[in-house]
Amino acid sequence: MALSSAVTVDASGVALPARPGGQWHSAALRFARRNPLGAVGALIVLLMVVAAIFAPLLTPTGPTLPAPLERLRGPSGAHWFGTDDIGRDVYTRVVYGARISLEVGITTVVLGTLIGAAIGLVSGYFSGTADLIVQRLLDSVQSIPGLLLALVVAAVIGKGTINTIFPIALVIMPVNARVVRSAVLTVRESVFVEGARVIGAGNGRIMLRHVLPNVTAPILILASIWIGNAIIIEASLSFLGLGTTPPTPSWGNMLAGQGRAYMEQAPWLALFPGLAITLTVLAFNLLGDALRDTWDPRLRGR
Amino acid sequence: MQTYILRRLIYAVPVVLLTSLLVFGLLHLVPGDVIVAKLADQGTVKPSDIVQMKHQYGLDKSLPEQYGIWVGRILRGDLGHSIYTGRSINASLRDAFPVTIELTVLAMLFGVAIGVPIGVISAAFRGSGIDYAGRVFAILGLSAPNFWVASMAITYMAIWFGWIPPLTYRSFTQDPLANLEQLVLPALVIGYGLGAVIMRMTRSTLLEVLREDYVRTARAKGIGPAAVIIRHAFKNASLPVVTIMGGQLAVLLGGAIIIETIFALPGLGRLALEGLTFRDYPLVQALVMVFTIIVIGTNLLVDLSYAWLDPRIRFA
Repeated sequence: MALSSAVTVDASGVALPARPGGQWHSAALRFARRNPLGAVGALIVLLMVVAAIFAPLLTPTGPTLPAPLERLRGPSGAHWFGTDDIGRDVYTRVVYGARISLEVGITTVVLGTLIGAAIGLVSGYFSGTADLIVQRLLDSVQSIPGLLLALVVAAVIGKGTINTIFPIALVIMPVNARVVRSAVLTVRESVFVEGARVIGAGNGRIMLRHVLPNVTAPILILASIWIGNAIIIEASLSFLGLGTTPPTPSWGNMLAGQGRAYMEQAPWLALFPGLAITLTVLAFNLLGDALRDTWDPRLRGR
Repeated sequence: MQTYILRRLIYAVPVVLLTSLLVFGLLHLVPGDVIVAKLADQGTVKPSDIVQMKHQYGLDKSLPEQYGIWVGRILRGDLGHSIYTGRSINASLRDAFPVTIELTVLAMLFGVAIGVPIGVISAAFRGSGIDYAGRVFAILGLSAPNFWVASMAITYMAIWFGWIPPLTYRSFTQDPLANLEQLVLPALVIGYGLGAVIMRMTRSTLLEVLREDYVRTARAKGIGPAAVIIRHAFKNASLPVVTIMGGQLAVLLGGAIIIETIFALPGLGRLALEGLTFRDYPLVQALVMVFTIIVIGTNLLVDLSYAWLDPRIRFA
């Protein structure tokens, strides 16, 4: 019976965290062997990053260059992903779109993670009344549906790629603050923190040198998982007209606007930008799952 | 149990109040573009018009005063009037509410119908081809943005079947068949994303439960594998699944904003987007509060049902 064998396999397969230092490539190989799907994710992420950085070298034309004579051409050797309603090369626009998705995805997660982790660290470490107030504040931010919150903030501060960063970071921040706080609550009670206090270390030193290093695993796991979500929120904002504005291509705004009217006759307009989002988010999700399995075996399979 | 319910209810009050402050503060950080937008529509903008209009909507009062008036009105059940259309927000909500509720309930049904069986089968045949297929299906559901799935669905429904989403909305009481025809596709799109989350949760909790001693005992007694999973394991694995469904409601409501817009459904989500587009802040304010109260209320219900199902939580 498949069930009983599954149980033993799981108990034996506890992965060790990658060792730092000069052995990084063997650590990477070990990671790839243990998590083939995670390695695939990492590879796709790498590919996307390369595409974003070297976009001008990888594409035949500019992303906003219209060519009225070549409107709505299907995928071909000249236009791999076809052309849109004003003759722009869809492949070029998808490659350039990677820039916005990755920039916004990574910046928002770094920002949301840093702010969230700082709040969680301080709030969990000191606890008491301030902690209580912070927790209720986070409750109220989290009780607004994430996309709605991002939309409202984006509408208040205005359109544009840069302006999507703060709203998305705001959605990510409370989740991080929560997780870091609960991790801090456990670490705070440990013997080595007590030891540090005994030898006279101040609160700041204990927080940064003793508590923080012990809660980095959940922070990194969450960050890897949230990049995918952040990319989806950015695409949603651009799709709804509150993010990156045309003619600058983003995967979200390519699926919106006047192009929608032509999707029935030119389905490639709907297909490729969406595939790009899905592939990228999938890659970050696979990578996140693998990192979680590696660093936190208790959560394996979740 | 009663003290537990009471404690949870008291907990919810400051959260709702804080959210109202947050929303109000957020929307009043920027000066009243609404008025300018509305007057610009009418052509001539005289400074005296602006002053008069600000007075009409109470925007010339101090912020704490405005906040007090707003909260006071909400407590009396009056959400105010849209600045852009002048329509009573209560009336708009009465029309939009049933659409979103129906969409969300249908989406949840689809999500459970998709997620639970696949999760159970995946866990039962862990490591097999079926398991991998199920997991790929789920992780794709997590990765594909719902507006893309919706766009593809609409595009290919039109190409293959010549079906396009109807532009005018029919309520269930008006015309049940037309109503379902309109709602099934959008609900399926949202349900797929939800089903993916439910599938992963079902699979992982079931795998955990299958490791328990009582499952081994049940097997040792000679109970068939299907009965062990369904009667013994799934019962205990279903609790976290219930919790995650509650948490997913916020995601569903967020998704409704996009899906309702794509499928031309006059629900709360589309109303919210209209409010944002026209900077109709009273409307946006009211809708954010409605969404928040739905989310907090659901979380409360989930917590209560959890406490009811698992006595350990009640007395902790």
